[in-house]
Amino acid sequence: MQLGDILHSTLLMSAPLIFAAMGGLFTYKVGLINIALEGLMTIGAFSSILFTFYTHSLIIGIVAGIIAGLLASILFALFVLGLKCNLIVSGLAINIAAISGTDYLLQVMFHTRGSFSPENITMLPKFSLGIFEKIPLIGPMLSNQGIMVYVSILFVFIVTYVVNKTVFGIRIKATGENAIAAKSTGIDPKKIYLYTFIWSGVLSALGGIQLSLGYVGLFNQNITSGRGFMALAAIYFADGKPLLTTAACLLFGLLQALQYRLQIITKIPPQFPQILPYLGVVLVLWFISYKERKKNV
Amino acid sequence: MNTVSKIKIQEIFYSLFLPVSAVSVAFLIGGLILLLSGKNPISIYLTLFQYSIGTRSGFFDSLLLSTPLIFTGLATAISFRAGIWNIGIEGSLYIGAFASAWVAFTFIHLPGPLLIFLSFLLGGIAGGLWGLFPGFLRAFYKVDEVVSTIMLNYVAILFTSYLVNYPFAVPGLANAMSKSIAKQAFLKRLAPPSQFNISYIIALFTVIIITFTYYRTTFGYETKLVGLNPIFARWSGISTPNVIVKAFFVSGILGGIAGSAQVLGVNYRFIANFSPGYGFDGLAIALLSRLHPIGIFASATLFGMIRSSIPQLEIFEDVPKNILGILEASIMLFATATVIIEWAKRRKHAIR
Repeated sequence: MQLGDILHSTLLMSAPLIFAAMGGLFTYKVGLINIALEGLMTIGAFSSILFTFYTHSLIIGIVAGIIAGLLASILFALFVLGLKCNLIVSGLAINIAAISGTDYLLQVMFHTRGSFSPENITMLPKFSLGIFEKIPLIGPMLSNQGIMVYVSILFVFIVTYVVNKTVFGIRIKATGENAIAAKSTGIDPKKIYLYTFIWSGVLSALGGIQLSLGYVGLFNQNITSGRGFMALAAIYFADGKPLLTTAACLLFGLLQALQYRLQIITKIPPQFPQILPYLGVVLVLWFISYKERKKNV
Repeated sequence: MNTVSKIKIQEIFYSLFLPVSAVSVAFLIGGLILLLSGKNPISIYLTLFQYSIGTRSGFFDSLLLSTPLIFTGLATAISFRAGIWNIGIEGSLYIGAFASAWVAFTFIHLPGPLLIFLSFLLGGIAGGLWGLFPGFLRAFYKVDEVVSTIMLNYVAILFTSYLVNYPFAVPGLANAMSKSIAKQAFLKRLAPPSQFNISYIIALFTVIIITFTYYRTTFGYETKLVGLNPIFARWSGISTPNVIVKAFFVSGILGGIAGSAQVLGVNYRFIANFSPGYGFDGLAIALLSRLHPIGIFASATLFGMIRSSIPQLEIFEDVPKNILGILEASIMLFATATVIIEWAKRRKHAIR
């Protein structure tokens, strides 16, 4: 059990989290509590594996996943912004609808209960960027990963850039701080909200694609098993700062990677490392508030 | 008829209009999905109602399945009324269930009624204490309760799973569950072969108690005020943090009792991951009934009816059980579409 192995697994496990977290980052910055990341990931995972199965084309599968995430997030936005449904309830509803709906479709279309794992499904290709292998420590981590893993890292840079250096990023920050004031400067908060919803949908769907096509080519309704919430946790952990959020995702990925190894080697029950991310968020939230209070006093 | 009763009738109309229309739209959407899957929604819905009300086993199963939902619906409603988005009832459910199971399989020499009472008591208190974590965080540190309660749900589920897999594991049992509770703690079945038991009566009492609490106690008044306008509540001398903590505690107690009822009345032991989302159903129910206890009772019964007929639908009409989740999600969405209320109000004024 070498360090290189562990680091490799860490990045592998973190990729979906990073996608979802980068997606949810904008909604966080804009002041919206986006619980639907879980459901959006599921929708992306399902659509991509479904279309890849039918068309034997990975590209169509990926595009299908993205479009599904796009449509779902637009629906989400419609309910919250258009019909004025409660944000939290709508998010929960999207999650429930996604998990139930995908399983429902599985049963109706394939008469399967549980998992959908077609044989010989085209999976996401892996490759190795040779240059990385030379770097000590993180070298093995970055080589021989699936293409989506690299894309997730790419998005970290994209999001960091957008947040800090673009007009859109400033508009998001402004709307997040004070939507009414932002409106007076010509920013349309509703449009900004819509964009952040769409972004969260597309990126979460990409994370879902990695989940279904990037690991073992399988889908079941619990494929996300809380990852959407872990991504949310990472965002809150880091107060929406992209690099810190990614670090949190890597931490959670590390815990997941260690989980299996720990079980074999030590006697630590698997539930404990599983609990850590969730408990960690609560503690961090408390800690952040505690510091705020001290400042104000 | 005078103005006061006119207003009262209007209130009743509005409080019924939304749930009825939300449920109707949800059934419409469900029907559409069924239609698109090549099934006949009319015959399916007919089977649903026929079975859940018309047959003896269906009827009692409906009531049985509505029992935990009544508790979790009330639990969620109490928090929501105080303006607290407490999504953590599921967690209290698990903690309370384990606590009551522990009492019931540890103190096996106590007489039945006493054991049952202690089991419920400890289950409720455990659930309540669990609710205090996010409660204190929200009351004194202003930590957003949506995220904290969702996280703590996972912690509760994983922690109780750990408990039955390690310290309280039973050698020889394949599944992750605790040992059986003492025989005298089994809640009496009222209509065998259905699992319908006394916990339903307890649920009914709870509805009455909570209704009383809402309208006639200080706590009910304070939570309502804090929910409506925390600043005004403060000016009235109400300590908002105290009310928040109390609300979390009471919600937790009810969640714990919901778990205890499952342990003592249905499973007779603690089973890991036993809840198919009773806490979240409670949320949908609380929203649908606009936090009103009687409405919660009605909505819980409706959900119970749907859940009870799922096996029938699966076998005879080839409907996957996940249609329930789709119906639920639709209900949740449309129950909070405040635009419907605004539309109704505008229409009413337009006619004048």
